[in-house]
This record gives sequence, structure tokens and C-alpha cells, in this order.
Amino acid sequence: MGLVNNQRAYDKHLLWQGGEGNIVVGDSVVGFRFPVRIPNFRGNYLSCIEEFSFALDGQALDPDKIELVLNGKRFRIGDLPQLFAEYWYVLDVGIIEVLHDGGLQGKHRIDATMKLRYGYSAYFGVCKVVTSKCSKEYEF
Amino acid sequence: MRAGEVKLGVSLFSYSSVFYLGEKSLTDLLKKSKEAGAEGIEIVASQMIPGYPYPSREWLRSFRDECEQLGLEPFCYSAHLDSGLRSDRWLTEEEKVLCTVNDLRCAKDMGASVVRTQQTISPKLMYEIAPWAERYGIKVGVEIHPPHTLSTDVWQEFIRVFEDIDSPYVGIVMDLGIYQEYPYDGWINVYASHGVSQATIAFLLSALKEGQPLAEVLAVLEKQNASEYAREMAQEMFALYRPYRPDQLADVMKYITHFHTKFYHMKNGEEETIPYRQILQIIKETGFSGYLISEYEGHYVYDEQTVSCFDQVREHIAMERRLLNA
Repeated sequence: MGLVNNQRAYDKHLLWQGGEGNIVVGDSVVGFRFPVRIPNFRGNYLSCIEEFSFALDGQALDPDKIELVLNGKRFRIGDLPQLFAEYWYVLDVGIIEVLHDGGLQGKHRIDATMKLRYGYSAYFGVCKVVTSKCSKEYEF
Repeated sequence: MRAGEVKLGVSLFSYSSVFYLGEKSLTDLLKKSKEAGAEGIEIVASQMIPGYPYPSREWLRSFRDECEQLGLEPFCYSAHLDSGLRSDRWLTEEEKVLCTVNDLRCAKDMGASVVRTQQTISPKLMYEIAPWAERYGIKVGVEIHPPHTLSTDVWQEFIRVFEDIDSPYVGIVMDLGIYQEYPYDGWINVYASHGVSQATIAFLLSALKEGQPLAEVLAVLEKQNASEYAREMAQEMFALYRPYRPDQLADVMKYITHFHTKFYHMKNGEEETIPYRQILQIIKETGFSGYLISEYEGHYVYDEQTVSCFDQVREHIAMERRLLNA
């Protein structure tokens, strides 16, 4: 069970548009960023994100080099499961920032996967976890 | 509300896709609801209310005023009870009560008459919730929703508790999805897109209609070496859809705060997967007073460009009105 996302209409919005680019500090390009939405009809607690992983041109990105910028704060991907008091409002766009020396130039493909736990769905003692996948080509 | 008076409303959740994409504001959705013939609205707080789970009093009062200016009753504050929101443990009973008391506070500020909560609240907590609901003058309705039915153990316990408490302030939000007999086209197409063949789909629909046990159906799929998607489709289908049991509905009518008149796809003015004609007949015969809140859920799979949520809601309210007046 759980192979098919019956609420998949929102999956294609996981990778959003607007705000993609490189992270420049002084004279150095230290990474890149791109926008993300929560792929569900409602907002959710960050602690309900069981997986939030990314690949660049088919190569998995190291989660230790990724942060989510949301609600005016920065969160390490690995810390999301602990953030039960942090809510992602459904209309808010998050920014994923990736440390990547030199940044990116030109077109690149990003693949994103989010496993989201529906905290209200324990109809028979277990919460449903839904996987959303999305791919998008950005111009950096 | 007079005895036997049925009002028609809409859950703004029906407009999820256009809200998500920023194509329509909340004000737009209220206006569209009014145009569709709604007298009141329900709002899913976790979806549309900024600042959730602790929205400001100013925002809630402003929303109430906007509803009233448009001639809409801000009928229900629809809460999620995310008992699994933490990664390390379930919410405690005390935390669930705090969540619900907070929801009641928000509903009061919004001018709502009902808080929709969910079965994750647990039956015994209704003894603690009922005095709070009475104090605020707002009903708390626990939504019954697929895959549960009124026969599910926890719902037998809820009904026993509601009988025992005997208060008009706690009861059931009846989601008509529990009476869905068959899947809708969009749901089927999701599995077809994962390679489940038309022959397998036809077999599953036939088996469901004939009441064949799931174990037998899975055994047939096993012999056919069917894909894991086909097996999941069978399991989901047999968990969600079942023959309609109208007798049970009449039995619990006195506990129902309001109905979620769920629908997935209006075709030629009808919803084909839920037996609306029979259900609305029971609503009339039992003298139910309250809201039928149209809840369009097809946006999970249909694009707005293909199926307009506004057209769907308008058609659905028109169908309800026609059946109620028949």
C-alpha cells in the first residue's frame, strides 16, 4: 500500500517557479537555490515531512548541504522531523538552498521527493505517508 | 433554524486547486459560493487560515465580517486533529483537549456554530470536550470519513458515548464518502496511468459490485501475476467502497451536526458514485434540520482546466435542491 498518490494533483507543484538562482557571498558563489511548495491541499507541520530529498542532474544531493528557508528561518533538512511547532502555510513558498561551490550555470534538472505524513489519518492506528515526486529544469 | 429546515452550504475546500495556485482569493471563493447558491460556508483551517494553528483574533473576526457582508453564514471551523504530527510520539490526551479548546476559541472568534474535529480525538475525550463546547455555545462534530463506517469499532464507541453524554453540543459530521459505492473515473485513471490494465479494472469493478471477498480477488490477481499497483488498487477499492446501508444513517440522524455532501464528479447534473436520491430522502423523512455542506473532492485528480470546481459546486447544489424539493 502507498504506491499511488491519489492526491497527486499537487505533486507537480512541489518544485515551484521564481526565485531560483545562485547564492553569492561577497565575491564567491557558494551554492544555488530554488523554490518549493508543500504538495498537498493543506499546510502542514514540518515534523510531518519524513523525507525531503533532491537530485541535481540525476545525482543525489547530500542532505547535510541542504537547508529549507521558510517562515523567516533556516532549517537543516535533517532537523525537520523535530519541528512539530513549525507550520508550513500552504500558500507560502519555501526556498531550498544547497551549498555547491561555484553554483550552477545554464539549465539544470532538479528532482525532488517528499514523503509527507498525514497526521490526522490514523484511521486504524497508523498514519498514511504519501510520496510526492517532481522534476523540473531551471535556468541558473 | 426551524425543525426540518435544511440549508445548503459549501466547504471552501472544494476550491482547493484554484486557491493553491493563487488564482482566486478567499474573498473570490466566498463570492463564488454565494453565486452557487450557498447559504453558509465551512473553512478548513489548516488549509486556508493564515497563522494556523493559532490564527489571530483580528483575522478571524475580519473573515466573519466578510462572510456576513456577503450574506453567508460562517457555519463551520473545520479543524484537523493531527494526532500524528510529532515524529517521536502520538499526541497525549491532554494535548488533544488543548488542540480542541483552541479550535473552539478560533470558531468563536469566527462566528462559527460548529467545530469539525476528527476521530483521532478518541471517544472518551468527548466527556471532557462537551463542557467546553457548551461553555462556548459551539457544537463539536467528529467527522466520520472513509475508510471508517458506522460499523467500525471506534464509531460504535463514539455513538455509545454520544448517547451517554446526551448533549446537543457533541455529535457527528456525516461525510457521505462513507456511502460511496464505486470509485469515480478520475480515481480509476490514476491506477490506469500506473499500468493497471482495462481488463483488470473491469474485473475489480465487477468483483466489487458482486460482493466478492477481497481475499478471493487478491488470489486471482496473484495467479495472473498482476502488478503491485493492481493489488494496491484492489485493496484500496475494497477498503473504501461498499454497498449502501441506509438503515444505519437513520439510526444516528439525531447526533448529526451537519453533512459533508461529498462528491467527486458531477456528470449531467448527477453524482453517480454515491446514492444521493436515497440519502436525501432519508434526510427529509427524518426531519433533519441543518446544513448539507457540498464538498467537491475531484480536485485531487482533475485539473481545473478539465473540470471546473466552480461548475461542479454549482451543479451539486442544484442537484441537492432538486432532490430536496422532489
